Amino acid sequence: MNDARPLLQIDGLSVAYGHVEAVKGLSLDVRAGEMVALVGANGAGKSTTLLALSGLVRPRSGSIRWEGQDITRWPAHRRVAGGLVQVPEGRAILKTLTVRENLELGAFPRGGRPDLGPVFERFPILRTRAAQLAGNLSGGEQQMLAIGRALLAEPRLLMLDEPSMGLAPLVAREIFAILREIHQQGMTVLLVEQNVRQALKLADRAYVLETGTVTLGGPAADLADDPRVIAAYLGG
Amino acid sequence: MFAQQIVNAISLGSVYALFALGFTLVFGILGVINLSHGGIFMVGAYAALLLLTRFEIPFWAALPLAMLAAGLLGLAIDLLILKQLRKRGAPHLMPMIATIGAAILMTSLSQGLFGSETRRFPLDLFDQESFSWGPVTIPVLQAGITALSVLLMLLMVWVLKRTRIGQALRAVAESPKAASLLGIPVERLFHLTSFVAAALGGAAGILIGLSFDAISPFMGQPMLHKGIAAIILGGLGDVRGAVLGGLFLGAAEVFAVTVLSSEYRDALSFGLLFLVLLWRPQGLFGASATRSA
Repeated sequence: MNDARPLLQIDGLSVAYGHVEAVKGLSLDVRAGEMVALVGANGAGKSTTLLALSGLVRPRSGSIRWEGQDITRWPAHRRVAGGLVQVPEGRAILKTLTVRENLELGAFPRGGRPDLGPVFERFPILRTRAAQLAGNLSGGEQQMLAIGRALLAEPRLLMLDEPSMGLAPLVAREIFAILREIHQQGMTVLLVEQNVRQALKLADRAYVLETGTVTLGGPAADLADDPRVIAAYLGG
Repeated sequence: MFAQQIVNAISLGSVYALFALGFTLVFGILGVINLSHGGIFMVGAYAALLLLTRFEIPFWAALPLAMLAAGLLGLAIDLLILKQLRKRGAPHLMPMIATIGAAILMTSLSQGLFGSETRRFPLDLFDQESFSWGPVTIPVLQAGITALSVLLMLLMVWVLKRTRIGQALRAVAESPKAASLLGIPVERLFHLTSFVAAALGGAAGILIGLSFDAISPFMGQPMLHKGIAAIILGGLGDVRGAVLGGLFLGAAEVFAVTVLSSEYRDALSFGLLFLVLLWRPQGLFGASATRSA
């Protein structure tokens, strides 16, 4: 399933907010068809890495290559059009727009009126709520809307930042099941998740981030058995 | 008498609303208060005057051309001032100060180019006839001004509500970050908004110049105050609020003149603004919504 050449390759990425360096010389890659997890404690630089990948923060140094092309300086909208789509932390639902309008905007880079049918089939609740303001949805429904909206952009790499955050355990489990299904249908996924156990269960490979840099990387199953990971993140 | 005042109020209020609409679009979408909007309004009026008198272009062509000129000026202000401040992450006060500077520059340049005296659009521009409807008399010019203001406002509301670009603009208004993640070219929409808002401001300048039969380099400043009053009355950043705020302000002025006298016109309307803000700090029609990053 995996191509030899990485779809996404990050080399020596550093991002700073003022004098505080949030990401320090980070390198990683994602191959087509993989699900890769980024795990680590709060403040490890996971979200900043995703923001840099989406073009919302400017790296101080390093490079981001997408299908071999250097996209480090590309504006955010060009990256989305190129297939790098993110469901950010907090979901970024447009609360004053309806559910239908949110979904239609998901397809903005593709132009024209999108076919919402497949998203409604995957998330029937969104069809029921289509005319409601998105701000009135529950947390789980908002996460479904965010994922459905991202899928309408026709991503080739779907990045998700803490999709289970703020959700009841049962709803979080439902979201993870949806992610597994999307991945099994061939989607390449880069997942940032604080629930390390779940992330390692879902992903093919994973990277552990600490203070802005990769400290461990490898097959997710191996990392789940690594005593350092068990001690630090799995309550071993 | 009362019916006539209602007609006058709608006519004046609709031009205020048109001015306020451009003003509120910039606030709602770019998140800045562009204090050069009054200057753009004045430039729109002078551009039309120049096209009508110097180039002898008919009014139906001069209006869109003057709107285009005002729009391009708005775009230039965005590119040269607002974009530079955005790039540097300047605090909210900076665009206000910078656009005050732009407005002063426009006023001084107009004074230098056209002189300080009040100018008028050519007399033979419009039919001097009036429609009469019972006790109400509406001059053709006044009816045309109202119709054009209402048409431009309806067009804007339609674009914002019904089109793909309007949806994208509303997304940017709510959260530029979320809009970026959806692949919406936020910077381009900032430029488009600045252009359209300024074109609407320029149109309002032409219509006020026609309505009061006076154009001067200083006409922008009092209009800016009215625009601020209208959008605060209506609720900052809210399109319907700007329209209703403009109409409300127009009505307040017309009735102030009727009940008291014209000297008290601004005192009454701005006194009203103060009272409204004490009662509803978010404006008459606005929700106390905040914009996310």
